Amino acid sequence: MVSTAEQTTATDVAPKKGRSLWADARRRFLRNKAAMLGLAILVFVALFAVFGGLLAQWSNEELDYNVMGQAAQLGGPSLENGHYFGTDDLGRDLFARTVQGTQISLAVGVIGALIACVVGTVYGATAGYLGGRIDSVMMRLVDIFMAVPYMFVLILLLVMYGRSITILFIGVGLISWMEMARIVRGQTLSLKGRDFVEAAQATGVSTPVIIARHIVPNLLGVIAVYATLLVPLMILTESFISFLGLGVQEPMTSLGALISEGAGTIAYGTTWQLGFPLLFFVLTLFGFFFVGDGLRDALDPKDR
Amino acid sequence: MSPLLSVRDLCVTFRITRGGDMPWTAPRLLRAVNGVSFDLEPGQTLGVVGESGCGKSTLARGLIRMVPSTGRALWQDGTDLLALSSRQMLRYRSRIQMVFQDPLASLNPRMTLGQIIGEPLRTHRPDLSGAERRTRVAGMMERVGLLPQMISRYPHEFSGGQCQRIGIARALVMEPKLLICDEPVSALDVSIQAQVVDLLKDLQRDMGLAMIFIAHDLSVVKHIADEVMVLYLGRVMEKAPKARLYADPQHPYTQALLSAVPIPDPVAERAKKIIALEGDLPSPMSPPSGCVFRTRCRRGKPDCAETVPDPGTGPHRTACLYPGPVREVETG
Repeated sequence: MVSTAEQTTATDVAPKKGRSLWADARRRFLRNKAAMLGLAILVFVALFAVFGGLLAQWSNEELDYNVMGQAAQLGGPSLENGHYFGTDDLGRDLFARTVQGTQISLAVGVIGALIACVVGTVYGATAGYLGGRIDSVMMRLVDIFMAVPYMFVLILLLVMYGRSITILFIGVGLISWMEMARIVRGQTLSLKGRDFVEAAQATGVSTPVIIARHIVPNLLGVIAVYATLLVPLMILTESFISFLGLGVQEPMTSLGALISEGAGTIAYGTTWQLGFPLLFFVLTLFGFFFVGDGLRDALDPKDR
Repeated sequence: MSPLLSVRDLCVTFRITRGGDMPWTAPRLLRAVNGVSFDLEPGQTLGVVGESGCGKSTLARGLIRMVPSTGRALWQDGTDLLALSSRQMLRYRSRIQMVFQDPLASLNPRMTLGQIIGEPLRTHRPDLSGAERRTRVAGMMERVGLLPQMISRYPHEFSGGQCQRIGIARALVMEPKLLICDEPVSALDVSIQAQVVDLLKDLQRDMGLAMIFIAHDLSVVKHIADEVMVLYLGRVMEKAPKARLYADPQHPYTQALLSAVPIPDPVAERAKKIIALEGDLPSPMSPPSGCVFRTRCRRGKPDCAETVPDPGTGPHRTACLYPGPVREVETG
C-alpha cells in the first residue's frame, strides 16, 4: 500500500541528489569563522612553501660574501640586497631557508599523519570489529608499544640508521599510529553493534567488505579530525628532533632546525633569525589546530 | 505441502563471563531461547509475541545464525541451516532476509538509498551490472511505495515510516522466501504502523513470502499472523492458530497478555477484567524450576515447581499443567 501523502510531499521537495552528511558538515565548517581563518592561514603557509622559492632573490645554498661575518650589522631584513628575511650567520638567505624549512616541516607533518591514519585505522578497525581474543592481543600489543618512550626510540633509530629524512618520516608515522588505533577501535566497537552492520552481516556481506563499506566510512569524520590535530604534533616532534640536532641534515633544513640556529645566535642581536622561522612555525600550528577544531565541530554536531 | 522451515528444539545459549571469574571456573550459561519448535508453511506468517527480554529477537538471530544456536532448522530442501558452515550458509542468506526494529539505525547513514537497497544484490549477484542493479532497486522502491527518483538520497532525509520501507525494500530485493521482521513497527507512529503492516501483507501475497513477525503488540500480530507463538523466558508458552489463540487462550500467561490489550470501546474497556501479573520477569540466569511462569502465575500449584510442562503436539499447544479458560480467582 502506498501512502499518497508521503509521496506527494516527497515529489515536491525531491531534488535529484540527496544531501549527504558530508555536505552538511561542509556547510557547518564554512560557517565557522575561526576554522575559516585557520584554513586561510594554512593556504597562505602552503602557498609560501610551494611558490616562495620563485620570489627569493637568493638560493638557499648561496653565501652572500658581503654579509658574511657581519650578519648582525648587515644581515638584517632588507629589500635592497634581496634578503627579505635577512641572512643567517653564514650569509645564507633566510627567506629561501624558511621556504625550504616550511616545505620539509609540512611534508613531515602531513606524511607522518597519513601513515598514522592508514596504519591506525586498519589496525584499530580490524581489532574492534573482530573483537574477542584477537582484539585483546592486538590492543595489549599497542599498550606494550605505548609504554616504550617513543622519543628515545626515534632518537635511537636516527642514530643507528643515520640522519635521513626517510627514517624521520617512517619513525614519526610509526610511533603515532597507536593513539589512532585506540580511537578507531573504540569507535568501531560502538559501530559494530548498530543495526545496519547487523543487517549487512545477516545479508552475508563478508567481513573485510563490512569493515570497508560500513565501518570505515562512518569513522572518517573522527579520523579527519584526529589527523588534522596530529599534523601539528608531528611538526612539533620533528622540530624537537631537529632542535636536538638529530633531524634533517644540512643543506636541508626544517623550521625546527632554523629555530634552533636562530635561538643559538640571538645573543648577537640577530632576532630575525629566530623571528621569521618561528612566525611560520606558529602560523602553521595555529592553522592546523583551528581547522581541526572546526572539523570536529562540523562533523560531530552532537558533541558540543 | 512440506513446510518451508521446520524448527526443532532451537536453543540459544550464551556464556556469561564475569570480571572476577578465574579461567578455570565453569562459565555461567544463559539460555535465552529454550527448546523452541515450529513449522512454517510457505506464504504463512508466524507471529511471535512476549514481553521484553523473553527471547523473541534472540530467536530470530539464532535462526539466521547471528548468535550461536543449537537444535535443528530444516529448510524446505532438507538442509539443516544450523549445521551449515558459514560459507554454505551464504547461499541461504539471500533466501532469508530480515527487517529491523529501528528503521533509521538499520540504514548506513553514509550510503544512498541505491547503495543500501542494492547491497544484497551486490553481495549475492556480482554478475549484475551497475545499471541492471539500479533498475532492480528502482523497481523494488516502487513496490514498497518509494519514488525511484529518490535513489540518490540519504536515509536521514526520510521519515521513520519511509525508512522502514527502505528496510523492507532492502530485505525483499533478493526475492527471499522467508522474511523475519523483528518488531518492524514498534518504533513507528500508530498511523504509520498500519501502513507498514498493510504493505507487508500486500508484498507477502504478491511474492508468496513466509514471515516470522516478532512483536510485543498483540493487536498488530492479530492483524498479520496466521499462527501465534507466545514466548516467556525463552520458552514457548502457547502456540495456536490466530483465531484459536485470540478467542480461546488456554495458558494463563497468554490470558494475562490478552487482557492487557486495550479495547477501542470505552464500555467494553471498563467492563473488561485485567489479569495483572505481579513481579518482574525472573532472571534468565536462574530461571524457576519446573514451569518458568509459576512465580507469577495465580494458578500455580506445588507440582508446577517440579515438572516442566510439555506443550504436546497438534495445532494448539499449551505448556501448562492446568490449561483452561480464565478462572474467577485470577481476575481482580
